[in-house]
Amino acid sequence: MGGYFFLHSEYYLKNLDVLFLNDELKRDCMDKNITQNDLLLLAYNELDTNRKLLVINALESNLSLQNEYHDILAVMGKLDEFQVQPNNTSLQIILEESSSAMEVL
Amino acid sequence: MQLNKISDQKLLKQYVQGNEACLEMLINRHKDRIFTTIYLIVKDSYIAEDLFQETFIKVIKNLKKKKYNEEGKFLPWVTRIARNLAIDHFRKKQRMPMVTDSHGDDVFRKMKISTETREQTIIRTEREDEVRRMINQLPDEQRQVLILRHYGELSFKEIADLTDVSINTALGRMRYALNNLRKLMEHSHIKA
Repeated sequence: MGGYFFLHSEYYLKNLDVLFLNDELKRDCMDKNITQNDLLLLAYNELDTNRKLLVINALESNLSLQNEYHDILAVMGKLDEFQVQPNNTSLQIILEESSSAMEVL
Repeated sequence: MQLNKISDQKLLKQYVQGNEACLEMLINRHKDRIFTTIYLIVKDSYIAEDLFQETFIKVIKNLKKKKYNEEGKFLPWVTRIARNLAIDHFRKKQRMPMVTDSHGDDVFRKMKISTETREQTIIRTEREDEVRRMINQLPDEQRQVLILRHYGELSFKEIADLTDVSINTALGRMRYALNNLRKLMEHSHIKA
């Protein structure tokens, strides 16, 4: 599962710098409580930079966290499969409305 | 400059200055996410089309009146407008009856004309139906957070403000929603 995580986590590819954290910071990371909320915020790219580094570093060394994070990404991927499109008629109506609003101005 | 690299902000600015083509680019960039968000909220494609149009007409009016001031946050702004219009719709109509098949699915969604082959359409609609049915099985509070965050791209803080709960509550609802979806997937033997 760990290997799978590393292969599929784009966050590692985007944040390679975290892999070069010094040992002191790494130990510090281990002491921090990483919550499920942190994983969720990481997945949706809502963590601030410092917290993001801590969470990513914790993920590197914690198989349980990796599994949890993988589960989140997997469901997110499934959700992405559902996407519906509006009709072209709707788009035309909107663009015509915009043109007429422009004429009024 | 490649068109897809122009930021939403630049497109909005140029649109307000009179470049109509920029609105079309913005709509094309975000239409699927916005329409999916509305559709998941109202569960009816005809109503979703109406609300989609209403949403953008309101967006246009606000832009023309220079009421938009949310730097770089076009999609969440439009999502909030769409959600408010959907709530207004339910208030006015007290939940209009849907035209559904025996599984409770919106039958008109499946009649969408496209360039897909029949087989491709069947596979796509089956896959979409699976996901949509699972989302619809979630409790309303979890469903709402999931739709607004995943499809509407509101931040958890914005969702918390919008739904008048704490950010931890919004996060908790999302966690439960994802956990429940995972269980439903396992139950239905869907590979995530």
